[in-house]
Amino acid sequence: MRSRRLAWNRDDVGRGFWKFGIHRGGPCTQGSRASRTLENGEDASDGPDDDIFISLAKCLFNSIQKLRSRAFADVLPDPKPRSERVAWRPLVTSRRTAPEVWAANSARRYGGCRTALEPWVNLQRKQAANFTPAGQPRREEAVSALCWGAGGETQILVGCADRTVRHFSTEDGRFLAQRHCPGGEGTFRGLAQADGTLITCVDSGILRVWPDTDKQASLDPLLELSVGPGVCRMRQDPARPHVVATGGKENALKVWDLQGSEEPVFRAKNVRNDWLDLRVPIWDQDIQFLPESQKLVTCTGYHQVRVYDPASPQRRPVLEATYGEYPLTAMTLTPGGNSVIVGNTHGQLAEIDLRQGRLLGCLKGLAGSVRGLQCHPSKPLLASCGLDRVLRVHRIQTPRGLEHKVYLKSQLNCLLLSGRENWEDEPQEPLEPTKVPPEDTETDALWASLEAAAKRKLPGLESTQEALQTRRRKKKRPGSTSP
Amino acid sequence: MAKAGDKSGGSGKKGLKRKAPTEEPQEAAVAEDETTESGAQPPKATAFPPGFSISEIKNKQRRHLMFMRWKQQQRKEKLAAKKKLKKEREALGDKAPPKPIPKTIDNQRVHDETVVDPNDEEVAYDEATDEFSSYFNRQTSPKILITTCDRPHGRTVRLCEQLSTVIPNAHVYYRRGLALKKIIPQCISRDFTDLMVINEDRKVPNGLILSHLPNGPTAHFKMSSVRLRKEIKRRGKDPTEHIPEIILNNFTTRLGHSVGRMFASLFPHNPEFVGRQVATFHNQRDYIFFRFHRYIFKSEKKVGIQELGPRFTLKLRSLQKGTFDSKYGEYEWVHK
Repeated sequence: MRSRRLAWNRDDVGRGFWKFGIHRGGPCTQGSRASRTLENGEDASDGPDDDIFISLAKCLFNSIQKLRSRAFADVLPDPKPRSERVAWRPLVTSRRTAPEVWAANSARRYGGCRTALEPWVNLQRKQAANFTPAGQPRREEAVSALCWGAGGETQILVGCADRTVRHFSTEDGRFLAQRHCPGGEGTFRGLAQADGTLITCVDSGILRVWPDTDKQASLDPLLELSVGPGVCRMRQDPARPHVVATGGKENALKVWDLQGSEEPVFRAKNVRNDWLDLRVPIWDQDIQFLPESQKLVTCTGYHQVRVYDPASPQRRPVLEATYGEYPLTAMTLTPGGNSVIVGNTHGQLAEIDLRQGRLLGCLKGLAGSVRGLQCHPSKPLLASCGLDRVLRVHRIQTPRGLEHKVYLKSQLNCLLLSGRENWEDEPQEPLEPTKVPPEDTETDALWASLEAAAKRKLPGLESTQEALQTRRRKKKRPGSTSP
Repeated sequence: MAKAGDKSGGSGKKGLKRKAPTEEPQEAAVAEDETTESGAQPPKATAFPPGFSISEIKNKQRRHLMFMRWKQQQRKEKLAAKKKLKKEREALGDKAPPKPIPKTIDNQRVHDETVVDPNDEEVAYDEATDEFSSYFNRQTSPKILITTCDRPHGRTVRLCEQLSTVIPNAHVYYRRGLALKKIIPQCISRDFTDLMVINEDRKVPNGLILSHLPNGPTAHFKMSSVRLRKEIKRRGKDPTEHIPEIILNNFTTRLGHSVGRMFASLFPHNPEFVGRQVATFHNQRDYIFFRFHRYIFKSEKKVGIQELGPRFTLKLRSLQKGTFDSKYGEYEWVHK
């Protein structure tokens, strides 16, 4: 009995585990205590008796602490006045689903994945083309953040695991430039672009603003802030590009104004201690700015969705809802603006209404942890990607269901959804719309062969462009005098 | 009326070999006419109202009788149809149409797009750099820790011991109420590569958690049909210390590849063919059957096998990225 209790409360699993096991020639037959080898700089004078005394003391201390925290559990706290109570706190656990599959529609989206391939998915033909910066994919170039670059939706900024940010052009279909963004440790947790500057934030909490010039000479950041360790997300306000919010594990939500002072504009406060008078831990996994107001929504690893209002004097969350029992990893706003869709590590997607704090419905299909979610700005479509290597597009309203599903062979980290409206009317990329129809059929065949060859990489794409050029030359010959 | 009643009573008794009564409301009328002609003619079936079914008969014995009669009728018809078809085929000879393929569950499956193409470069690169690559590059050799849930009973303990004889370099430790999350860092520091935890419910092992150690995925299986050595009929003698070969069948999809590699990394890379022992993980319809055999080649094509070792069936419930953390870990695949 005593040895079992000792085993619980020590940080070491316990010599008993390794000693008394039924093992075959294992490494841990330590024999008697007197003959054991000294570990971790222990004194030879520490006899076995002192050891037991110290562990007993630790054991007592731990149990006293536990008792203290539970001592007043049976005494109910005084009811808080109504104004101070949080507006609603429903426990949302029900799931309703209405699966239905719709006819194919066309869309275009970009996704980043763990091995630095950037699948560009054309759902009109259910094809994905991979783009790699250097021909062969490498795990060091795993994409951890994606955002749109300057000038509409023609450029994408790709943040890789080796701390470089690459510029990718969607029209040309290739990587244009790259810049190395050193400082701090960990991967990129947020990437944003504002007025010709590049904002990056890494895991260890270093937020830097870089001048976005083509020259690689300037390596010094314009501004550097330390946000706090363990950052999980940095998000830029789409309405005010110089305002940025950060949050993470044991790192409360902070809103920074990059043109203002070095202190955060809004620093959130943790909620009150729970009914056992224990501190509620913080783990902000994703942040979104609500449009047309200063409010922010966060989703946490402790399955809570919280709304903060910097305009109100209250630093604590204004509204809170919970969903499920697993950490929420991704979140996006719906086109209506009244609800958010969250995804958790079990692949469950739920739409939560922010006005009432209740669950509107769930979306089925994902089998792995949700890593990226994005809604289309006007159409009721949601793109989701996750660790189960499949990109899915769901329809959110009337009726709720899966629309497209594309298998991409690597685990997906993030995605970007293009907000363009008329996909159906656009001709195929990257051809000009003035091409003669026979050539179009040839390119159709080319696309089909690309699909059949299962993911050609950049060399493959180049060869198709060359083929197009030779054909153009051939067409010129009969009528022209030039060689 | 009485006559009809008598006749129906009579024909009911004689009607043991007659046609099913469900078919004839009209024949009842015909029967009435025909009974007047000759007694030698076999009386037709009894009169039943239209829309009558055998299940409406209240008397169980009578109902059973009617049903048996109907079944025999059906069987006869089926046999006759088969014979006719066979005769037609023989008559046609070479010109006969090809035999239709019977529908099985495996035939009717929708093609799974995640099936891995052997020439796929992306998947090959992914596998060359994932958590198992150090095993497949021969940089690490496996060392397994087998343990159970808290307070295991006899069957589970014996299964652990037998598994430790099947898997080379496996060590069994008794779990004394210790948290897995605390055991894992200690295992890593003692160079274990895999952790197997056998869960038990009501004295019977029913679950398996397999965690690849430095930072590898954790698979949670449901275990069923566990047979220990003494419950296996016609088995061979106990397995020797030779390193067995491994057979992994049907792990074709991307998820199957991950799980298959996990099983492969339990065994050392260099099988000793002298020992003639083989461990098989056969995946069929998402159930993985584990068997351990000793084989001997009697001639070029004939093999004799003896089943040794424990046998069990696994079904994957979830594959979690990272070491065991069921609450806060990220799942690659969850059975839904």
